[in-house]
Amino acid sequence: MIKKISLTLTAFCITIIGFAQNNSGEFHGDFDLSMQSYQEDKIIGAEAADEIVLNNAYLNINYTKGNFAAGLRYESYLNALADYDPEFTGNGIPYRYATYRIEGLEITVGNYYEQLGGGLIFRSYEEKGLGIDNAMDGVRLKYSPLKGMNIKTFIGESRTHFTYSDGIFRGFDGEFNLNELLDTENKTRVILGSSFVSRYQKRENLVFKLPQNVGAYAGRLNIIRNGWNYYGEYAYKINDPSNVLVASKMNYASGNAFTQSITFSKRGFGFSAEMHRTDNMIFKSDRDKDGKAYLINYIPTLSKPHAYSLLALYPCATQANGEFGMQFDLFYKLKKKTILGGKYGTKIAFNYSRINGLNGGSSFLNDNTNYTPMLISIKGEGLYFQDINLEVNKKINKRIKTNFVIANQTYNKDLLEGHVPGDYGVLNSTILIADVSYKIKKGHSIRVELQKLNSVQLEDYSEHGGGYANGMEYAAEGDWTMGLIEYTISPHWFFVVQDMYNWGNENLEKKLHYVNLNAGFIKGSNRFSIGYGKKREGIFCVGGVCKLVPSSNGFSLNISSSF
Amino acid sequence: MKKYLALLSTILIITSCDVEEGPFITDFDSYVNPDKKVLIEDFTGHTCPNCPAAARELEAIHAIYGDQIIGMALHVTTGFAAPHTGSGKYEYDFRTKWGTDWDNLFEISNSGLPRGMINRIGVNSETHKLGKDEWASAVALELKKDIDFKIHISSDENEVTIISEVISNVSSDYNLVVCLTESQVINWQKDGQENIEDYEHNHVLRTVLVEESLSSASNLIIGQQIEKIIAFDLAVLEQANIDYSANTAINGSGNAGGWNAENISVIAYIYDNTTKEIVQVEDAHLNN
Repeated sequence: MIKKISLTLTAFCITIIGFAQNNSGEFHGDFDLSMQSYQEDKIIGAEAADEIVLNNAYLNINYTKGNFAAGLRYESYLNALADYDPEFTGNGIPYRYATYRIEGLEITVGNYYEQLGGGLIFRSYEEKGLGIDNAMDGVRLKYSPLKGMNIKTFIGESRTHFTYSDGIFRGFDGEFNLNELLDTENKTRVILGSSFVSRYQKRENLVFKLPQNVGAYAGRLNIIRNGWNYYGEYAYKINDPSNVLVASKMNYASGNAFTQSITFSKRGFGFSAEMHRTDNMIFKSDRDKDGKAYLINYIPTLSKPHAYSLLALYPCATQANGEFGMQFDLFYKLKKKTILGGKYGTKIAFNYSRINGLNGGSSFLNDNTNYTPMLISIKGEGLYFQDINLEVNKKINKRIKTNFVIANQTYNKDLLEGHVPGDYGVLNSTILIADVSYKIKKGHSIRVELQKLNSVQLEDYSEHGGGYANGMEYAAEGDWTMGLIEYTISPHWFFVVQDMYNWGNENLEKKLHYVNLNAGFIKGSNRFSIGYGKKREGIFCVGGVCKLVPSSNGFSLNISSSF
Repeated sequence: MKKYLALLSTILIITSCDVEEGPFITDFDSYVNPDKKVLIEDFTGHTCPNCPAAARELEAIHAIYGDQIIGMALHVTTGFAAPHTGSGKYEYDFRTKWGTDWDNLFEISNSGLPRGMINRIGVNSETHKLGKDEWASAVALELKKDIDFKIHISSDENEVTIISEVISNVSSDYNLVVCLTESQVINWQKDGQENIEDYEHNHVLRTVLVEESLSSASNLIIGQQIEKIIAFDLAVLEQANIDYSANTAINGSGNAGGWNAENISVIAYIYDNTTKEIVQVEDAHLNN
């Protein structure tokens, strides 16, 4: 497949370059290289790489001229970094496209990324941090026949690593901005949308009925007035059983999901309330395969994305198979020159999120079982994740800026990480963060982070006889502290020293320091950084989609550039 | 173009869904749960003239379903299984303490031999004692059932490790039984009117290593793995059988040894303590 794509692309590149040489279009591109050495470290469970050094590299080249654009991406995994799916191996040009627009019609052939509505039924996207790239390969048309009316339709296959999954997707989306369509000046803006996507995959099961064409629908409504913004979307997927030969694993129940949010914002104040529910809404590009590479829809998490290490130690992974969640955010800026606001004002952000399972599990339908959970049930349901956090951001004077966070998180480690109940249990963590920046002199600044996490176990599995506290099968990580010093010499240099200390680990051998050193140089659009350190095994998430990051010990080199 | 897009989307919506209606299974009669295994307990005796026909039926069912069928031959009763000491034939004693106990518990031989139980189905309704011609249909029904456990066996001549993996949340009271059986035992067997000197006895129950509660927990959770390690001395177990034959079994002779570890298998099964139904079974060669 790689050879086939490469040959096609070579011809494609020659055509584009030849075209570009004779015309006055523009080339833009960006490059990224991540190299990491892997040494064995038995205590943290880090394995040495046979290759000593692993490497991921990408180069995007885009050409535009007027209404025409074309581009490609060269990818190199020699071999892929340890936290990547090992299916990413070798070199190739798996992404190439050409597109042009004329009289409201946009035509794209080759690869493209696409999202229908909020992504509940379809999202083709790239997230390098997660090792996800499910780009489509096919044809996409977008058309705007009237002002305020946007229609798009596509057909294609979804990329998985260096090949394409078996499913063929056909999709349609229509979005209607009523204000523009009706040409009204009404302050209330209303945008309606609906979308449909269908996956075709050949039926190959002699024992059970299998739908070859699995369709999913969604409708959405967005109402905006002054500082208010309401967004609601409902999605439905028809029966989509897996292709197995065991009756108990054949689930013919349809899936559904909804998400609702309302936000209000004005200068110095904002709040939002969100809720979502998903039931049996895993939609894959290949019904026979498992893993995030095959997911073709996206259910965003209802929890605040955290950047601080200990706040993000136990992130929430969305359970598309079934969960109910809610989230509330409140932002307020205390005015300048008040008692609490001080000279520069004080920003306060409060966030609460809670995600639990569905009553009795997700919908299930086969010849022996027909179960549908309650629409909304909170009390008494298994808690997946809860986060209560308060962040205070204050500038003290021209030299000192501070940010403080206090949070309490509950994390069902067994369920969210796919363990057996009683392996690790449910963790409750109280986290304190202090982040202080000090400007030493012009161009020189230092930033210090101090973080502390105290963890307790909420579950008791003593009757199952695990060897650790509360009957758990595996040792609890327990309490952590973290310190970071970052020195920046603008605009070119930065140096970072970080130590995460797992002093509360129940396993005495794992009361370890995870020290990381980083230095970077930035000049123009080129950025270089080198680092050395140990990383603990953990979960890394972006927007509720997560991957397991193995422990590692070694040097790293990152280079990025753009033109 | 607008018309084209509208038409295209309409066609997509109308034609791009295959909503399936039940029944979802296309051929219920031939459906087999590939993870389900069935234990056929064949109560037999070496002087039982009709018993080899039951053994052949067991092998025929095994030939159809392969490794999903696990056989166990239990030689029971004084009349059909006691040794004929000094006669020059039928001098071996295949009986075991456990075979006799289970025969008494389930009252199998009261109905005449050969008889068998298929996963011990029907104990509470007194329909568990099946003639050989009833086995195949009972096996076919059993193989359609969902499973709550998978069993993993690793063993050698000194130790057996059984891992019972919970497949779905269950709250019943279960017992775990681990046995040793031996195949390719060449000895006398009456087959109809013939006395066959070199008959091959297969799946002969030799000993039971353990029969105890699977777990002390009242609820077993999906994904949970329950490990049981049993250390043993094969020679001691063999001697115990010899002693049982010599001292306990009616008309026993003590001629119950000669075990060959090369032909011994481990059979582990889990049964519901209330219904006595065997919900899952697994076997493996002793040296695996």
